[in-house]
Amino acid sequence: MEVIRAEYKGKICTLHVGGMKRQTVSCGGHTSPPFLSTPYQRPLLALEVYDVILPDQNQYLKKIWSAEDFISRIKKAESYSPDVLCLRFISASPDVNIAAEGQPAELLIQAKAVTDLPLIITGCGDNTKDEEMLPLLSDEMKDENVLLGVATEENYRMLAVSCSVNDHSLIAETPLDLSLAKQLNILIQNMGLPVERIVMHHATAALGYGLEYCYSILEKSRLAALEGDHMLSSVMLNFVGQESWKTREAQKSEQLGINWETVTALAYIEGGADIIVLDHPECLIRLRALLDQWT
Amino acid sequence: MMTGLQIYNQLPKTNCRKCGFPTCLAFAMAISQRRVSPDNCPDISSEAEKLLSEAMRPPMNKIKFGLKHNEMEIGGEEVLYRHERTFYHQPALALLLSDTVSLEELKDAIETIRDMDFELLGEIFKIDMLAIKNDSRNPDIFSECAHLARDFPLLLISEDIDSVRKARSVLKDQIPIILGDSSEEWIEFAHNADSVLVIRGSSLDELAQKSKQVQSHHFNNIILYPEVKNIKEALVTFSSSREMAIKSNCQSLGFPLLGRAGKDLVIAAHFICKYAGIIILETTDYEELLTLMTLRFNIYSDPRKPLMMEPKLYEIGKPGENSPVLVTTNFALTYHMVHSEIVTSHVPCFLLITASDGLSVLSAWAADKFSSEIITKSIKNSRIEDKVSHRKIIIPGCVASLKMKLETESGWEALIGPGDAPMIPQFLKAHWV
Ligand code: B12
Ligand code: SF4
Repeated sequence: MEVIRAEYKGKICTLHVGGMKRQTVSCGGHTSPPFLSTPYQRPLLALEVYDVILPDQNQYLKKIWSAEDFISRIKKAESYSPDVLCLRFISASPDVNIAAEGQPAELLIQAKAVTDLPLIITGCGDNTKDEEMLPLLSDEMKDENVLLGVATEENYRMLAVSCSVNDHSLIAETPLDLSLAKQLNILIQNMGLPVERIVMHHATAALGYGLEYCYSILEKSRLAALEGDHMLSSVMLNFVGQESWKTREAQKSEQLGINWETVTALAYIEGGADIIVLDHPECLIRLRALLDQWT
Repeated sequence: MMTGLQIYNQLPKTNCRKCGFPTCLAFAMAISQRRVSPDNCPDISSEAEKLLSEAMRPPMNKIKFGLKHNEMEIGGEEVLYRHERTFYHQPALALLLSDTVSLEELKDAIETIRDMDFELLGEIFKIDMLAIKNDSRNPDIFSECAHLARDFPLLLISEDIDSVRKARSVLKDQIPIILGDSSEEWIEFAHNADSVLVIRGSSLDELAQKSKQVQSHHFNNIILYPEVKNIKEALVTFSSSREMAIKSNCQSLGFPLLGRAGKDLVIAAHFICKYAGIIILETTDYEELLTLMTLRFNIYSDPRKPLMMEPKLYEIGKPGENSPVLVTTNFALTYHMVHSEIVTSHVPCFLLITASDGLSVLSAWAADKFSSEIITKSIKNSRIEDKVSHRKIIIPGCVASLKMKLETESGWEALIGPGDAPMIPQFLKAHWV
């Protein structure tokens, strides 16, 4: 029997993260829906390290990550060999009033010296603050090809220019709407950063908390790109850890939290995500075991 | 499947309206969306009717099994991606039990499974079915186990037809599924014994061939089981099978698929997303099952209509004139999360639900569907002002910016609640009791 499958004329961009003396990894480049072409470029699994541990952080994550300072946490994360390390500078947020061990830029100088993993560097989520802080961090990492974020409709200009001059890539976030995503990609491209260097974040919801909307938007986004919409052909990322550990289930038991994060991640991988940012090392281990069989 | 225009070309094109539609084209569109059947047009030629019915036949058969009068259905799917319409029949999760354990142990295991409740958005779900495996290879033991588990829809796994025969004979009140062999003897048995037969094959070719052969015996009650070596093969085989059935109208593959996830949560989750109709699981771990049930609930929810609550005033516990008043949107998920935390707090409350198109708090706020006007209107319409003596309303923490305007418009004081529902009990204790 001849198996007839849909053929696609579009292609997803290939994204590289890392460079210079830093390790380099890549993702994307697909010409078919998730995992259906061979060989298939597997998604990247990132582990997230926060510059400060917030008091309302999930208790089980606290147990894993809080006993040590930022640099020790980075070393610990590195010991699990994630594909990418995600450094999150949350202390800059106006809502956070615990001081980090130093200014973000100072912390980053120390951090980059202790690890040669490719890096994702994210801010605190406050548009104004991030617009100020992220360009400084971007300068600090010049030519090391990090993935910076998160840019929104409000603050993309500075961030796009900064990534463009320092040769980084940028995460662009829009709330589950392909026309908004496309529009932001176009705006960023107009600032000099091509779609190949943009990573779309179509919002992330945890399992049981609106996951189905995000799952479907990923599928739609990927299909639109494969059908030829070049402005949507950027790779896609989901912040799975952050959302999963906020849930009621993840407050109840660590194992349930791990299940929640793992299965949320799996759903987004099925939907077409190319980069998954995780918070619990056990999830990294389980997903890697799966991807090893898969690709 | 045919497009609206192709269907239109088969119709009389007189626009006589006898079908209840203003034009033949409108009727054709309705057929293509499966809202009406072609024979609603009295003037359609018999060839055209035959052609259309054949073309509009669902690309995947629906299979019924389980307890009589309470049958389960799987299959009947029409799309590859849920956003194209919806997925209709969620995969059945079958927990695997072996017939080599003692009857006592089996009884306990069944009781434990029976007692498991999974609450999702206020609705209680149970484990769908059990799979019993004839490891003993003994027909008597196998049938005794089947008899013990007979209140559950059953999947009987055995390579020994005598065992299956015997087990089938003690299951009067259900249509079981049989996973054994697919030779003539088994087909005939399943056919006569009103059972569903699982057809196994190591490639799509083999499955398609066997399926054709079974159907030539006028037996359609089958499920296909691609015996794959690993997850990668599973993905390719399951996806190809679904795509062939739906896009190429390949009738031999137009049946639900069975996947074996073993003890692996992640593979089970994969099968939920990608196209299994039945998943055999070797776990009775509550937390794993809850995770899978939630994923299935999400993926099989209908994207065409978000689950909504009726916008009105809800009383939780027995609230009185001094009880707290909270407000949120009518998205079912939001409502249930807030509701369950209020219940946990043991503080009787009034919960005011606004008409916000079934959107979550921030989505509704961003779309101007959870504005100070809308909240004020809900306050007035709900008559909450007659029920409480105070004028304080707790709003979700993530929309703190509504406070000023809401206070001016409604005359109520707005208390900014926590951003996350799990903090509500603590908040109520600190600010109210
Ligand atoms: C799923 C989703 C959607 C779905 C809608 C699903 C639905 N039925 O609501 C869709 C795709 C339709 C959607 C659309 C939009 N969305 Co939307 N969406 C989300 C997403 C991913 C999850 C939302 C969700 O389901 N949350 C779960 C529910 C339970 O949360 P909740 O209602 O807030 O309730 C919690 C708390 O608020 C609290 N709580 C609730 N009620 C109460 C009451 C009291 C008294 C208290 C104390 C606490 C409390 O408890 C709950 C549990 O903790 C979020 C991002 C995210 N990860 O959260 C974005 C998000 C909410 N969306 C956003 C936006 C902007 C939109 C759009 C305007 C985009 C657009 N232009 O189209 C539209 C608006 C709707 C429209 N015009 O149709 C933004 C809002 C940003 C902002 N701050 O304004 C978000 C945050 C994404 C982002 N980061 O940009 N969205
Ligand atoms: S009844 Fe038949 S002929 Fe008349 S309008 Fe409807 S489709 Fe056309």
